Amino acid sequence: MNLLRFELFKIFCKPRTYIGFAAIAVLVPLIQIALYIDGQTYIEFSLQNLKEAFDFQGELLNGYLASYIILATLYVHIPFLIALVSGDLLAGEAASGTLRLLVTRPISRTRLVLIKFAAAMTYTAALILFMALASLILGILIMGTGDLIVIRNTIYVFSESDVLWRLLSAFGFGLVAMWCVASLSFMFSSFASNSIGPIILTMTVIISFIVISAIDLSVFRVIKPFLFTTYMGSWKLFFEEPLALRDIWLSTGVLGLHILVFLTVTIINFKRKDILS
Amino acid sequence: MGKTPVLEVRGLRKSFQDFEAVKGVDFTVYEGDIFGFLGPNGAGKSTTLRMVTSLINSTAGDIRIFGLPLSSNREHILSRMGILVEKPDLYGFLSGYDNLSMLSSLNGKRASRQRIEEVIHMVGLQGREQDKVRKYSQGMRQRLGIAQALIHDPEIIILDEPSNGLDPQGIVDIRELIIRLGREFKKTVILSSHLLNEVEMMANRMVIINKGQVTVEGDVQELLGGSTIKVTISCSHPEQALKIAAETTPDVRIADGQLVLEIPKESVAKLVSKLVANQIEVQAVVPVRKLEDYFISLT
Amino acid sequence: MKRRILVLLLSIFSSCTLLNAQNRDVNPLMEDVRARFNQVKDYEASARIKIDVDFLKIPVKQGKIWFLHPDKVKVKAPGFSLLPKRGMNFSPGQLMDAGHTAIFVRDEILAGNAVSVVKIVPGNAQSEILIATLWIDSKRKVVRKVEATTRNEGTFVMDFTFKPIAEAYDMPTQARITFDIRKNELPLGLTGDFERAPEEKGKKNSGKGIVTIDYMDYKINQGMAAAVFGKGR
Repeated sequence: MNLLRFELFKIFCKPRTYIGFAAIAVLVPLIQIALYIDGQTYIEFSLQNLKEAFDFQGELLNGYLASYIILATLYVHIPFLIALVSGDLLAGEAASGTLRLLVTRPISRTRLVLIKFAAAMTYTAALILFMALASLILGILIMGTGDLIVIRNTIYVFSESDVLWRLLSAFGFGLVAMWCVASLSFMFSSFASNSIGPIILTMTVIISFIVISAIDLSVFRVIKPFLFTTYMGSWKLFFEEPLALRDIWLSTGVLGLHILVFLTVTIINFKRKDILS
Repeated sequence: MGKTPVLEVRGLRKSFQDFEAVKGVDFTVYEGDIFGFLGPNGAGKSTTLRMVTSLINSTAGDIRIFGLPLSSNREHILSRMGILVEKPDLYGFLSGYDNLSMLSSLNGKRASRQRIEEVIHMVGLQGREQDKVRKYSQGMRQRLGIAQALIHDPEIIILDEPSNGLDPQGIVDIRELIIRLGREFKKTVILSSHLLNEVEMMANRMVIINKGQVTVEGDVQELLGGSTIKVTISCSHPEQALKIAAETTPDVRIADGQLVLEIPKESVAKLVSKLVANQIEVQAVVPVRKLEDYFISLT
Repeated sequence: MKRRILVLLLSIFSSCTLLNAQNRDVNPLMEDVRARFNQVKDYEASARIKIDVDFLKIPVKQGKIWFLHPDKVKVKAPGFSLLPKRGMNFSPGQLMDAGHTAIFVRDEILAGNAVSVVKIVPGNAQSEILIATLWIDSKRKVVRKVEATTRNEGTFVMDFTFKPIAEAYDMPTQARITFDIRKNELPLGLTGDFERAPEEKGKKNSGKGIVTIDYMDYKINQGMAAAVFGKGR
């Protein structure tokens, strides 16, 4: 516990740690205010075809919708903020030479990796929690609560009382997905001796995988199920009715398995690694 | 001098791809030794020390510390060793005090305030321990680096080029500290250096390694002979320095603006302190006998 | 838009000069229906609105519905609700007006009830409604079904359900409105859904929407709606 506290202390002493929090602290209110001003037009535009047949009654622009939109829009950017810290955990210490101090202490390398991994997971959780709280609290303060409309292939409207658990579950699933990203960059971090490499590599992998998923060619369609990014978007399954529980568990399981594999590779690599920095 | 071996290295090898950095090194360090690990830059000293401190894995060979194989007793052995390898890289965003406190927690138990202050005094960092390490000079970092190796009161202390980056007074301070660690605190100290005189002044036993192989191992007195050392001292007021030095040894002269003298080994540190105390700026203390010369004499 | 359809719809029923139906004059029947509905000056009722559209999933809404003679309707439900534009304001109380032609087609049994099928042809060529058919329960003097074809918005059908035994005002317990609805490309940008889920298999887009409104706890002619519309609109 002492050691985890030490790791967290180190993480929170570094300026880069606050880039993530600062980015969220700026982006979240920005999106909220923009939605507050212009959101109604957006919603009406989205629901044009329904207007022919229906009259709308009640407010759709609310803190819940804002939180949903924030979750959807920031989903591609958060991995960068995560990698910034988790990609630095081993490589950064290698670059600064402090890894020597750690590795020559009477603590097994496996334990050292596990402590750093736990610190990466804690940081990720703190960032996602901050994002969830900022989105929800600020959104509700500015726009209140209400029914949530989700426009996907189908338009879903969820009753106000049926929304919060979905949003919290989605943020929870998002956390698992981001843990996967953190594990990936942590793994890259164990191979590198400076933190730029793991950060760029993590982003390259994620962006490439997302691009491959997006291009609808049969070759890509075959490999899509094998890309972990495919499962990262499953938080949206919480906004379907009926709930595709099987798919949610499958995605969580696949991501969990990836985390386990990434961590195992990190441990094996770090145990065998020559500390030459 | 105890004769219990605390570190035994046998047939140690390390290859990096096609390059063999260490080619079968053997040496033994006994309890209470101040052991000089000597060799020119690139000889394989650091690689050997990194294997001894478990930073890198050996390609072949055997390392036994406290009679136990390092590979299978790593944590136990490391808990009884204090290590400073290469540059003293510490956490710049933490104070000297916090660095020691945090790093000691990795030894299983966080050091007490009393112990931290004791070690800070030992290395001469008192008054600066609350400053952030990023504000430290190279010399202060070196002192803190040594402090972190001492914090858990280890039995073996491994110091890699401990006088690197220090000013002449700092070099003297650290030398005195190392000698004290051995004589007063009965620690086994392994120090690496590329300076023969440094080893000569501190160590009782040494090994010289060159091109990845042991050239010689044995008693410093026996190998280097005599109790005196010939050095040149570059300083600000050579004439004044000459007078002060003459109080210690009659064999002193000025050549090319530098003091050239032969004095008992243990007196070098005292003389430098004396010069500094007399407002003389000491720029360098260089042994006349160089490692390279010694190699030539060996072959 | 809503108002336009409403007016058109009402005019179908209201106009009927009821010229000679094939072999039966439906004018008295229409008059009876109108009279029955004219008894209702206002009402308040609890409503349960269920929307069934392929590409839309919205929970069943519980709310209140108010009607004020002749054509004012207001619905209030918590949160966000979608109210069908067609049929919501349907009030067969105003069947009589000039200009339309009512033609008796046949008698038939509709869901166990004997009904007269009457076709209404608008007299006005510009009318939004091209043709409408009414299924009128000749015994209870209520409209059980309406089918209307519009100029621009396809066909819609309204089915009404009544209690098995007629009550004083004989108001429907359920209205089921079926209409055409197109599915436009949904803009996905808003919620950042970049990956498009494939169309669900075996579920073809019928292009029909169904809105079912269950009416409960009618409070008729108690003047409750007046207050709602007074401060409302």
